[in-house]
Amino acid sequence: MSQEHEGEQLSGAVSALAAQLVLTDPSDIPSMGRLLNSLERVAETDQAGVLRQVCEASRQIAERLVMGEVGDAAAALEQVAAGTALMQEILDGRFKGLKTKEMRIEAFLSQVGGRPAECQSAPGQEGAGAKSQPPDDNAEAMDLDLYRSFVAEATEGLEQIEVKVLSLEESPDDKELLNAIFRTFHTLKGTSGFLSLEAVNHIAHHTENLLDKMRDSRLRANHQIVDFILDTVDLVKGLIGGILERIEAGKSPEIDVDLEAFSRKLAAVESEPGATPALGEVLVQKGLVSSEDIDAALAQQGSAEQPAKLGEILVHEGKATAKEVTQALREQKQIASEAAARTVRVDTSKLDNLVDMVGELVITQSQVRQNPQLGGALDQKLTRDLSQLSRIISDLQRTAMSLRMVPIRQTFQKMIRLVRDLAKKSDKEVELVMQGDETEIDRNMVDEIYEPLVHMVRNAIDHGLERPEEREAAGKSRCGRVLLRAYHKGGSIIIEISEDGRGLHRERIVAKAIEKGLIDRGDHLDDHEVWNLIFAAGFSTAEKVSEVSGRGVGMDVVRRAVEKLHGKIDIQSTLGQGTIFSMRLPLTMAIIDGMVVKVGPERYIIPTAAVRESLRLERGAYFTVAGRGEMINIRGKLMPLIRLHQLFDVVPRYSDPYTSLIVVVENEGRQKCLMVDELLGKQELVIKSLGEALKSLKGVTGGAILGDGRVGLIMDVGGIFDLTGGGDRLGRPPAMGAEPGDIDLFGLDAGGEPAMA
Amino acid sequence: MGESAKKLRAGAGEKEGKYLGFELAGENYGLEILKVREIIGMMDITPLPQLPSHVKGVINLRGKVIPVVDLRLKFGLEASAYHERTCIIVVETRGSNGPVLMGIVVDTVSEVMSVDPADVEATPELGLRLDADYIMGLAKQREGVKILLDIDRVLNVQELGLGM
Repeated sequence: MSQEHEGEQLSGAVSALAAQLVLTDPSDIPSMGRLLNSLERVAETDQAGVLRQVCEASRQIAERLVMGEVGDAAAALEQVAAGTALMQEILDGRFKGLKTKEMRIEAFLSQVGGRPAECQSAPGQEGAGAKSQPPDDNAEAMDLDLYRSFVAEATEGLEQIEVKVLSLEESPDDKELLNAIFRTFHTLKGTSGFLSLEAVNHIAHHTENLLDKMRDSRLRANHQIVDFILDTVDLVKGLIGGILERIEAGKSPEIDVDLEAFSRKLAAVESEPGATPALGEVLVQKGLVSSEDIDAALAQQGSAEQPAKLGEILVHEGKATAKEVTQALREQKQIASEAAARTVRVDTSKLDNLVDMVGELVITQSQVRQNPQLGGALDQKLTRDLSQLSRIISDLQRTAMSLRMVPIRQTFQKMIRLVRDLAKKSDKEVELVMQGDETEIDRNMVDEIYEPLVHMVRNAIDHGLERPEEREAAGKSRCGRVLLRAYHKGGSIIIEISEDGRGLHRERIVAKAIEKGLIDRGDHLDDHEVWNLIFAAGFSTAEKVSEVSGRGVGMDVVRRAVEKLHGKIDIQSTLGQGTIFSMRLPLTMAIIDGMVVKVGPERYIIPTAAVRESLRLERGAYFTVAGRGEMINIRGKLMPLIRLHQLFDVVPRYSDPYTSLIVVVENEGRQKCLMVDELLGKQELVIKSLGEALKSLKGVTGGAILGDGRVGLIMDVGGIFDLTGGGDRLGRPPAMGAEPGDIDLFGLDAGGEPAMA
Repeated sequence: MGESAKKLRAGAGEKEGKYLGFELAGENYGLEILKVREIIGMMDITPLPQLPSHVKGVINLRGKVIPVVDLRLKFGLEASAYHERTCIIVVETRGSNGPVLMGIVVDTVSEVMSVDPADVEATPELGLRLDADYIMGLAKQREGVKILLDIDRVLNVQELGLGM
């Protein structure tokens, strides 16, 4: 490294320090940590040692500040500032004679140098002596606070690294990305250093060096490095995970780790030559060039005296057009720039309040408009103003709802890691493709869909995709493809997980279902119904299903989770070609698409996702079993009847099933009939919690404010099924005399278009 | 509430202060004004299934859905038809996960009164119809005796028969 270059780096580091200083608040530990980092960075860069003394003195002051050993924090920070200014002056070469410089440094050191001793002995300096001397409770509590903020900051940083490292794999030349990862490890190193977390410090330090090499293009991100960094993240997470508990228990904050193993792995990674670059991957992904072409181009690049850029080689060789390469490069960049989007963090309860209030505004507005007094005084201006008002209010409502929406990207990105790990574990080659990750979904849905998504991705890789050899034998490429896709469709979000694996095996599923007693014979079921069998509880619990059907691990869990969110799940599969699972979910848990029904004086809301159809009974469709169980026969299907008025204890208008309306609802594959007085229509409603006091209420999931400001109860179809009991999971009533073969397993052919009354 | 809190309550400190007075079947009650969020007129209540009769249902309090308890029924007093003076006092009670808003239906709200701890007598064990735990004390006022309610206890989820 040339001297000039070093000087430049040093003044850069000092400027960074000065900039950091402006942002530092002595009471804010993380900002102090960053200041310390900047100081250390200066010390590291300053190999010639011109600034050594000043820098060291400043660092000591800053450390004491962090430990709360300094009485007057503001004055101490001033000293650090003075030291920084001095360093800048030294670097600027403003001192003509060597002597002036020496004197200034002397002056600074004597000014600050005596201070620590002073602090500890001077009785007047409150706080300083008291806090640094024998660690009393106060100091311990403060320490704990220090550790706590460290753990919080580090955890957040590490989580960000995970996502960034994975993008790094796609674009190893993205300097912004590298810098971001570098900074996190750098901060980690600095903070762990002054908290004496040696193992963390050691790991962070060496990882930082590795990253530094990558920044200087001495190393290039590849699979091994990304794996290594991910492992490091896990290692550090493990190290800091229990810190607080250990300190509270009076133990040493750190646990033993095999640092040697870490060093060995690091050495192995550092000696590895750079692998496939991202541009190549992007191009291959787009199907523009083959990976062989890329490899050839890379080989050429590696052997050339003056390495040309990959894109140039590809264009030169005629493997890709310049336009294609530019597009791929643009795609690469886009990923980095999107991260810089501006956001504000807001407490979700504030958002909920806003949504509540806007909802009330809408209701109040419609009540004002319907006021008969207004009808009398029909003034043109008033009418105009009123419609303007309602436009504004509906805009406001839309905006308020959109505040809760976030792109599904975050959730999808978590799958990248999962797919990597699973593929590795199961010795399969998997390529994950994501589409529509900018599709927006309610913030509170994000956590809810995570689990079913994990199940499905795991299922796709574990059971859906074949091993590379099998794939080759079947004439497919070795590398299996998992496509994760999200898009909006009619007020719902559809999330699809498709893979080009072996597909569902109809006969095996049917055989298994018969064996489990779920069905008696399978020949009358269409494919769709057969696929749905894998969602039946108990379908996969008894033995390893992968041997039988290749499918079905925990799929009942998935369906339950999806139904809880008022969503639906669907399967399409072709033997030998793959399977598509698609989840249709509401965009938000705050809004429900509901059918408003009336029973007696009350209105109830049935989630539309659970409604199969509604109809008036034909004569003879109603019958009783053993004088008690009431059944309905709809087109040959027998379903139990639930009298909602009995369940909700209200007086209905009609108590005869032939005069009232019947709504067929489904939950977990079971169908039952609900008896209601009338249907008031379909409506989107904001779901309100009934609060903690009523959370144990069965059969009701919440309330919704109806158009007139009254509360309507939202039914929990699953809960109602439990309350009414009877019938097994498949909707067969107990001791029913009907021919079992007549019972449509899941009654799916009733789905489709519910007849609205 | 633990024993220590009970003892505290026996001391004078907690009974001091402003109380909202209301009537219930001809008796005068008071509850700490600090617990009261607002007083609203009677409104449409949506009944809930499978609950004890004193839980009347839920109302829409400006976009929030909150449960409403009829205090007459809760205390085993005779039910009465709601009239124009019947009102709902919205109170904030302690829940296991922070404050919970609930409405209580009372015959009428009478006044805001100051209670001097010297005038408060401990709850006598008279085999009252009311659980003595619900009562913080009896306050002797010029116009008569007011029953000071410990509303957190009255509206406790278990007491209301809402817990599982």
